[in-house]
Amino acid sequence: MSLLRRFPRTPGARKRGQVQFARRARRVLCTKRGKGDRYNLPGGPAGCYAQIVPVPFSVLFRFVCLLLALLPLGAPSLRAAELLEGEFDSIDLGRRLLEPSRFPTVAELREAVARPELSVAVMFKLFGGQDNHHLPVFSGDGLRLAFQRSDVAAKSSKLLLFASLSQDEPTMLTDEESAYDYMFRWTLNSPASYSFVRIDPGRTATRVFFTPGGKAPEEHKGKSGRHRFPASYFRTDGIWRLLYERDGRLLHEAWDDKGPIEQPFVLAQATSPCWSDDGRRVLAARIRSAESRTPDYEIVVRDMRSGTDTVLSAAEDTVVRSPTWSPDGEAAAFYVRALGETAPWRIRVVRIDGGSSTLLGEDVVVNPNFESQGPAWEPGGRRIWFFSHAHQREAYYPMVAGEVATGRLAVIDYPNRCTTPADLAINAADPVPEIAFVAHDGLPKDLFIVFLNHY
Amino acid sequence: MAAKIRVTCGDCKAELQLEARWAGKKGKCPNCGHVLLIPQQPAAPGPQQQPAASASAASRPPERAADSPPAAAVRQPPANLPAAAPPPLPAAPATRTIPASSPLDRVRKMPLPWLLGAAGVFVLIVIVLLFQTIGGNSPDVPSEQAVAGRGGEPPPVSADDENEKPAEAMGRGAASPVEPSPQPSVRKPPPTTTGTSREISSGAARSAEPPAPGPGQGLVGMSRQYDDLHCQQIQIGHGVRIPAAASILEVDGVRLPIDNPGALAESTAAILFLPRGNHLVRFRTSELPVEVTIASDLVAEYQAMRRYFTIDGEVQMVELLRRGGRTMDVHNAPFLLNFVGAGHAKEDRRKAAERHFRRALSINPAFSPAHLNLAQCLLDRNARDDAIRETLLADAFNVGNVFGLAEAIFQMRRKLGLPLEASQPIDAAGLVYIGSEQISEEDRRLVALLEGISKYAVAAEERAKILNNLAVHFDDRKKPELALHHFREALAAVKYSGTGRFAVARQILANMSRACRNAGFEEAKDYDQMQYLVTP
Repeated sequence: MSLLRRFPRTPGARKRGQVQFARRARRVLCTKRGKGDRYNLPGGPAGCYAQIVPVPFSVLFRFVCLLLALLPLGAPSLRAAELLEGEFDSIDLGRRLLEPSRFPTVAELREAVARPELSVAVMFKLFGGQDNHHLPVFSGDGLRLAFQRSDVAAKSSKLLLFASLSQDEPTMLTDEESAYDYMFRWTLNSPASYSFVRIDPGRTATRVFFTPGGKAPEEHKGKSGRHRFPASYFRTDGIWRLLYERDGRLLHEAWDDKGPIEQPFVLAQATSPCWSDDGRRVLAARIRSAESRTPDYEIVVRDMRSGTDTVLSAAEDTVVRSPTWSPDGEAAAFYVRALGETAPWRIRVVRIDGGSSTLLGEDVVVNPNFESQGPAWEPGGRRIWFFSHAHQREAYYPMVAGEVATGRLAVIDYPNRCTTPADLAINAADPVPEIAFVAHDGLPKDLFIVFLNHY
Repeated sequence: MAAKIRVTCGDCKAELQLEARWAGKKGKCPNCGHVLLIPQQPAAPGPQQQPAASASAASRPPERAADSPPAAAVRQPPANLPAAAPPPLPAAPATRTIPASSPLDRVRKMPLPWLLGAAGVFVLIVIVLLFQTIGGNSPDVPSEQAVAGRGGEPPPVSADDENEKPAEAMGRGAASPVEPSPQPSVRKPPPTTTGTSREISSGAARSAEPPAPGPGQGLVGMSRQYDDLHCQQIQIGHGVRIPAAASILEVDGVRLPIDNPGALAESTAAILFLPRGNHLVRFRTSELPVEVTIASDLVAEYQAMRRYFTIDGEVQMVELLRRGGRTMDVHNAPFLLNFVGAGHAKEDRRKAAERHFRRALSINPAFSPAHLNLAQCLLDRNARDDAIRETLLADAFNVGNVFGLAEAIFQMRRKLGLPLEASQPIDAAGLVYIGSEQISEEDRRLVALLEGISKYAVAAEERAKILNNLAVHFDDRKKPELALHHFREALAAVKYSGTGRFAVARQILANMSRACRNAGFEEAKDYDQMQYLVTP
């Protein structure tokens, strides 16, 4: 490191044209550097020359350290200048902020929401640990979040729950070591209620557990066989309705506080049920041919009053997965791929009133081990959000929002320290994008929350 | 004759002769201005003399010659050097390796720009420290110490507060045919239960249970009768909560003229009041009705409440204000706010009255008396269409004349020229009572963003700060009603939190007072007093 010094040859020469001289001298010194070199520059002020002055590294190091040490002192005062009257500064969310590094001021957020392009307003890590996490899912009121902690190799899986998003740490649904919990589903119309599936290795049974109103999970008794894909619905008259798959057949039952209203009965040879908001229709993946060796499903809508099915996707030689309703109940989206494990997943959208399905996303990132509740609709139903291998940049995947009407894709970046993200979920109760996903920030997959400035 | 030192300038090669007292010091060459280090010993004459600025000399520490004369022996400075010692200059290459004898010398030898820079940094530090000491996050918000310095006692309630004029017909005349009690003798110990009982088979109705008060929630020595919690219990005992999934409101087979009633459920306490008896309430056409049993008359309860807060027709504003302070101005029952609004209306503070009626309805949009009072306010300021809507809502929610408002509604209908029976359904999705101010798309985004992020704050106080900042945004945008609404949300975040809530709450209340003052709202003094009521 060296500094440039200027020396006047004669008294008074220092001031004359000093600035211009220094600029020229620096230009020369950029190309020719050496300790003690002197330069009499043509065109410089009379009697001046430049000389390289080496600066000891230790001095420079101390100076830089001093500046760095002073930065935190200066930053609050700079921020205070932009605070509104009565605004609190230094808000500690209690989470590790990734973007920005400290809680934004009102002025900064005003600027963010005025920005026309989609961008990250706030991003933070909600939870991390030694294990991989999967499939975050928000409750209907947007105030709760559940997700899965799994170690596939060790055949271990637990469900974790933020019964309130302000919880410091999530609670685990069970402490039983042997329990393998997965397929978490919130109950429609009852924000604190949910159901899930538990495999008990000791009994080699797969059962549905149900939790009404946030109470302790209860096993849904009296059933044998392999129960999966629960979907529950709470009516305003106090009746609970539950759909689940048992050994390839879709069953329905209903009860209230006094006891059973309807005994379990088979709806169809189907799986992955999903209630509509009004509780009158069910979206499901129906087995097309029982004789087929490969899983051969089609997406159907079951009218629960008439019992009739409407087939939404009839393409053969495809695998369909995780159908989900649009927010207005007029369309459904689902994952689809050709036969073969390595075939890429796509997202298709189909209107319930009979239109043909449209392809929205190519090479979509889909959890290979656990089935999600389906593509993530934004609350207005205009777009579906996902990650795609088609847009990956090395291990970084931007978010992709596909417009249902036009098929146009928007790519949204976020802090790229999170790699190989998956399992994107949207909080449907929030008018701005509040997105949860899992991604690597180190070895395990952790849970992140990102707020964008607008839809 | 003093000993001479011969020095050759390393730059222009000029030979100089100096007195020995300059040995070991620096000086400028009079010919070219180059800074020279004058050797300790007299330079050897002739070709053996080493240049002062040579690399070898530069690498050696200076040594004082044993035979060099003391500086005091020199009487005259050399003619060819400046009379005074040259000012300290940045170290030349030849001198920079010379170790300083002391830290002071090291400082002296520092380059002038560096010294100036260091001085600047020091001044900056001082300014920053001063700013942090004097300034703060909220310069106008009185600090906790400042509040404590005032004695921690509530300021005396002004004479105006004590002598509130009687609440006139806005609430009372319409709602209650019963004359107010001349004595406050109706005050009785707070009941341990609501005094009413109810059997509701619906799970949705059970979720309306009020939260338990936190530690330090109440004010010592104050009756808990008809405080916020008691009012919530009364409310729950006389109605059924409207679920978010509701698509209709049907009571005993009669459908209320309200479309999209599920939108009402977004309010804090969306409870549909019902008269005494058994009722069948249906919320969706395809579902069974809910059986609801109401064990007591709300009319009687409401009239008792009115008697409690009125003496000789004067609204007990002090009692109401204290109850507001107890809840940090975060009510979950509309009764008290409706009374405060009536008190303001009696004093002809119509705008303040209207704000309170709106607040009551933002808590429970099915609270019929506030609809009727608001209709009167709107009619007074010639907002006839809105007055009609509020009258129809008052009528719709006065199920079975649960509030005893039938006669008053009838009169209002006549005043507005409305047909006395049939009415068009009103879409509940469009009902907004938070404020009358317009909100831009950017404001909407900011609200969603800050409310959304605040959910994740681990500490309740931090959540309150975030929501306070949202309110400050609206205050800055000259939207005081929205600001006050969000200030209350901030207070609600800390209402049941730990002891740290009081300091935050006082700051928020101070912000509310300032916002009211900026907007010319009469409630400013209420918030000034509440700061003293919010204490552990």
